[in-house]
Amino acid sequence: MPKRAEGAGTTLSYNAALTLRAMAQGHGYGFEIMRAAKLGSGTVYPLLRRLEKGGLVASRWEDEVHAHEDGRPRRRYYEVTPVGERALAVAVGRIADQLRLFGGGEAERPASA
Amino acid sequence: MNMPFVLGLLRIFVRLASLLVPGEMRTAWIEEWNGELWHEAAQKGTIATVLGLLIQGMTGVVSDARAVRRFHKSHASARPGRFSSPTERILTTTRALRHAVRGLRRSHGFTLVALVTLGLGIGANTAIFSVVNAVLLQPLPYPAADRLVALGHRAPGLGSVDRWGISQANYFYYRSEIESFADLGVFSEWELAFAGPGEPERLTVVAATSTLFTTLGARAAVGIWFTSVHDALDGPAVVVLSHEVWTQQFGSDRGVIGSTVRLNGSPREVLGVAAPGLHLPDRKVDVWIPLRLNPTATPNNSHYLGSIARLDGAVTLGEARLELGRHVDRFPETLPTAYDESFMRNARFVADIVSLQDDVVGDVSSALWIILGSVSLVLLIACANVANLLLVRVESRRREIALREALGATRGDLARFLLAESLVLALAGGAIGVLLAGGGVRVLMATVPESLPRLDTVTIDGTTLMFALVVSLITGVVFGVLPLFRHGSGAAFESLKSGARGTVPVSGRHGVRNLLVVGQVTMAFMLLVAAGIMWRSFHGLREVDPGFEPAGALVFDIALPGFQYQDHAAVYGFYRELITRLEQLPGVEHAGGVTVMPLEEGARCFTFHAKDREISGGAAPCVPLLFVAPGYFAAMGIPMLAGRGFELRDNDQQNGSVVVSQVLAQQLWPGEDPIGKRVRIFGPGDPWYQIVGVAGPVRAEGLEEPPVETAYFPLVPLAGAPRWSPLRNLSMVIRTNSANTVGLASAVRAIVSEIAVDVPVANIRTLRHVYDRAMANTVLAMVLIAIAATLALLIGAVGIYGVIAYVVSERINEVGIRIALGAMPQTVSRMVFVESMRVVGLGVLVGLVGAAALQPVMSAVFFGVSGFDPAMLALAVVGLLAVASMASYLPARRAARVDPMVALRTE
Repeated sequence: MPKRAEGAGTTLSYNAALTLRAMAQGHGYGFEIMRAAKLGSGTVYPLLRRLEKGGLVASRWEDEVHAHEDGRPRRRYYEVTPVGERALAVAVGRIADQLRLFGGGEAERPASA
Repeated sequence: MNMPFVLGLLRIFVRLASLLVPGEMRTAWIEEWNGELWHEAAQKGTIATVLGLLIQGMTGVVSDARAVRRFHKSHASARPGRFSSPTERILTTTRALRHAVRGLRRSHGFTLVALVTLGLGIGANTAIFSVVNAVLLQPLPYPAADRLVALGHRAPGLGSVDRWGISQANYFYYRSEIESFADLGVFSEWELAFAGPGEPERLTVVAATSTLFTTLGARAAVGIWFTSVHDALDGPAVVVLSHEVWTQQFGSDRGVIGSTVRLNGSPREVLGVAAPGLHLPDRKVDVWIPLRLNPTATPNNSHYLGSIARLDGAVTLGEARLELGRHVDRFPETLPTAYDESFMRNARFVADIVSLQDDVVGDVSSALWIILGSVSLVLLIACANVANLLLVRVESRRREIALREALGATRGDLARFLLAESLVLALAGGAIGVLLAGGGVRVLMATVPESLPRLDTVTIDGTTLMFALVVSLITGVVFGVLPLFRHGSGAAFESLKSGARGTVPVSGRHGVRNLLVVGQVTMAFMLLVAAGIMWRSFHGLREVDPGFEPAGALVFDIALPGFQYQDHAAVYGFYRELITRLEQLPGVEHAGGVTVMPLEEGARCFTFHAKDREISGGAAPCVPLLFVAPGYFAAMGIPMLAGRGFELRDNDQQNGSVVVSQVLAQQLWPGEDPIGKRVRIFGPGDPWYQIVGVAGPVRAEGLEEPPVETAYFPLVPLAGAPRWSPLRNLSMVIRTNSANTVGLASAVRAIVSEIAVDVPVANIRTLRHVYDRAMANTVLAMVLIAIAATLALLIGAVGIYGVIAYVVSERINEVGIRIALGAMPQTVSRMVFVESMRVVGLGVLVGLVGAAALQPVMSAVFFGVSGFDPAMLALAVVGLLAVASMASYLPARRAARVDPMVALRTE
C-alpha cells in the first residue's frame, strides 16, 4: 500500500520533523538538507517527495543563470510552505512534550543552534 | 579516484535507476539528480568524502526513484489504464492475475467443472500429439537422417504389392554405379540362440555389411564396428553387441572386448559395443554380425536383403529415383544372369526408394493426423462449453463489471480482467491435462499392438510440453475473448440504466447455443452406442471356443542351434528326452510341442493329396500343416474325436502316422471314417502317410475365423524318405495342475540346460496369454472408444449445464416475477427442466438416426455384431438421459430458489 502523503492533518514523523526544521533553517538543496538534518539520502529524498505531495514543501529549479555561470547543471531547490511551517510547529511542540512526559524514548539529537 | 570519475559512475547509475521512474517525469528527475550530484562532486574532497558521496548518491538515487514511482502511481490510479513504464505494466498484470486466482477459488464449483473439462480436452490432445510427435515428427536417431533412404524393388506385374529387398548382385552394382548415393549398406535379420555369460537367449541378430554403419553414421561406444576386413567371405567371426545387451548381460564391463560368445553354437569374438539407442529404424537389434557377401558370385534373382542408402550432396529423392530407373532398365544387359527381358516385362520390375522416415512410418501417418484432428474437435467443443460457463459467470457479475466501467475502467482494463481469469483457468487446465496425458500415454503404450512403429519413443518431451502450453494459451484466449464480444463498451452502461435483461425470448438468440448442445448430445449418444457394440463384440469373442483349453498350461519356445543338431535323429533325440523329463515333473500332466501355436503367426501351407480323393480340376490344395511332438493334443486340451494322438513310438519307429483335424476330415471324406486313409504332402513320388486320429477343431487363425483345416505330421518323417528339414524350432506346451507357474519355469530351464547347455528357453508365456493376445486388437478398440464416449459424455454434460444455467440467469427477472405472482417454485423449475430436456431429446433423436447408420458399418468390421440391437440403443438412451437430466436439474433447481425480491431488484 502506498504510504500516505504527509498532509496538514497528520502528525509528522520524527525524521520528517528534522527534515523540515533543517529546511526552515535555510537549507534547500538535497544534500545540504541531509547534512543539516543528519539523515541519509535514502531517508531524506523519499521524505521530500512525501512532504511535497502533502503540500508541506514546494520545490523549484534554481535560477538558471547562476548554474550557467558556474558551468554546471541546475539544481532543485526545496522550501517549506506555510502549511509545512504550521505542521512543523505542531510537531516541535509534541516532541518536546513527549520528551518531557515519557523521557526520551527515541535517540536524542542535539538541536543545532 | 577523482571526482569526475565518481560523477560519471553516479550518472550512469542515475540513468539506470531512472527506468523505475514514470516516463513523463524521467527527464526532470534525471536532471535533478545530475544537478545535485554535480554540485556535490565539485566540492574538493578527501577519500572519505568521495566514498560518502558514492554511498549517499547510490542509496539516495534508488530510494528516491522508488518513492517517486510510488507517489506517482497513487496519484494516477484514477486515470484510465495508461502505463508509463514497463514495470508498472508488469505489476498491474500480476495484480490482475492474483485477483483472478482469488476469484476462481471463491467459486469452486465453476472452477472445478471448468478445470476438469479443460484438463480432459487439453490432456487428450497432448497425449495424441505426443504419439504424433514421436512417430511422425521426430527425426530418426541417425545423423542427418533426412538424407537416408530405404531401397528396394517392386514387381507389380507378378501380382504382389509388397516391396522386395535387393539381391547381393544389386548391392555390389548399385554401390559402384549409382552416383546419387554417397554410400549404401545391406542387412538381413535373424533370431538366433545367443550364449554369453548369462542364460542362453533367443536374440534378434542382424547381419550387415560394414557399409551399413558408415551409411547410418553409427558410432561404437566401446571398441569398434566392423570394417571392410570383416566383410570378406573368410573374414574373422566377430560380433558387435547392442548397448542394451552389453548393460544387461555383461554389466557394462569394458573388458568384454575380445571375449568369446556363442551364436547359434559357434564361437565369435566381441569386437565392440554399439552406441546407446542404435537399432534398425523399425526393429530393435540385440547383436550385429558381419554379412559376408561374395562379390564374384553369379548374380541371381533373390531379393532378400534390406537396404539403406545415404543420398549424396544435395541430390533429391526424385533425381536418385531417375538415376536408379535408368540403371534398372539396363539390367538385362548388365546383369543378364539375373534379369532377362521377359522377366522385366512380365513383372514390370522397378527400383523403389522412399525416405527412410516414410518407410518406417508408412500409412500410419494419415490415420494419426485424422485422430489428432478429431481430438482437436473435442477440445474445441470443450472450449465452447467453458466459454458458456464463463458467460454465465459474467452475467452474474454484470453489476460489478458495469460499476467498473462507470468508474473509468477502459475496454482494455475489462479485457485484461476477464482474460486474466481465462488464462489462469486455461494454464491450470493445461497443467492437469499434461498430467492426464502422461498417465494416458502409459496406458496407451501398454495396450497398443507392437506393430505401431517407433512406439517405444513416445514420451512427454519438450516439444509436447510446448504444444500443451501453446494449446492452453490459445484455448484461454479463445474462450476468454468470447464473452467480451457480448459486452461491447456502453452495453454495460445501458444495462445498468434500463435493466434491459430479463424478458428475452428463448429461441432466436440461443439458436447457435442450442445447436451446440444438440450436436454434443448426438455425438455422445453415438459414441455410447459404439462403445456398447464393441462390448458386445468383445463378449462374443470371449464366448467363442478356441478349440483348446487356455487355462492351466505353460508355453515356451525352443530353438536348437544348427551347428550341433544337424539331422532328424539329433533333433528328435533332444525333444524326446525333453518331453520325457517334463512329464516327470511334479504337477505336470502332459507335455508336447508344435511348430506354430494356434493364434500365433507363422503357419505355412503345403500341397496336400488324399489317396482316394480325386481333386477335380485345379491344383492340389495348400493345406496348413503343423509338425507336432507327441503329447501336444493332451497338453493343449484338444480333444481327439476319433482314433488316437501321436505317441513317442510313432517317431521312434518312423511309421508315418498323421492326424487330421475334424474340419479337414469332413471336407475330404464327408460322412466317412478317415482312420486308415492315406495322405501325402508335396507331389507324386513322395511317400503316403496313414491317418491314425482325428483332432477337434481349432480356431488357429483367429477367434473370429472359422476353425482351420489342418493336418498334423510327426517330427520325424517316414524312414528312408526325409522330405522336410529337421524341425529345430518348436513351441512346447506343458499342461499342469499346479498354480506355481514361476517355479515350473525355472524347473523347465534347469531341465533344458541339463540336456544341452547352449539351448535357450525363450518366450515363456501361459496359454491364456496366447489366447488374450488374440483379443488384443478388439480390446484396444474397445478401450479407445470407451474413453472417447466417456469424454464426450462428460463434456456434453458440461455443455448442457452451461447453456441451461446461462438461460436461467438471463431470465432471472421473468422467474422472479412468476414466483412473485404466485407460481410454485417447483413449477418454475419444472418449466426450465422440460425446456432443457427438449433440446436434449432432439439430440437423442438425431443420435438415433446416426446410430442406425453406424450399426451396419460396425457389424461389417467387428465380429459378432449383427443387425439392429434395440437393447443397446435403449441402454444408451437411458444412460444419456440420466446424465443430461442431472445436468439440467442443477440450474433448474437454482431457478426455483430465486428470491423474487432479489430477482426484481437486480435490474
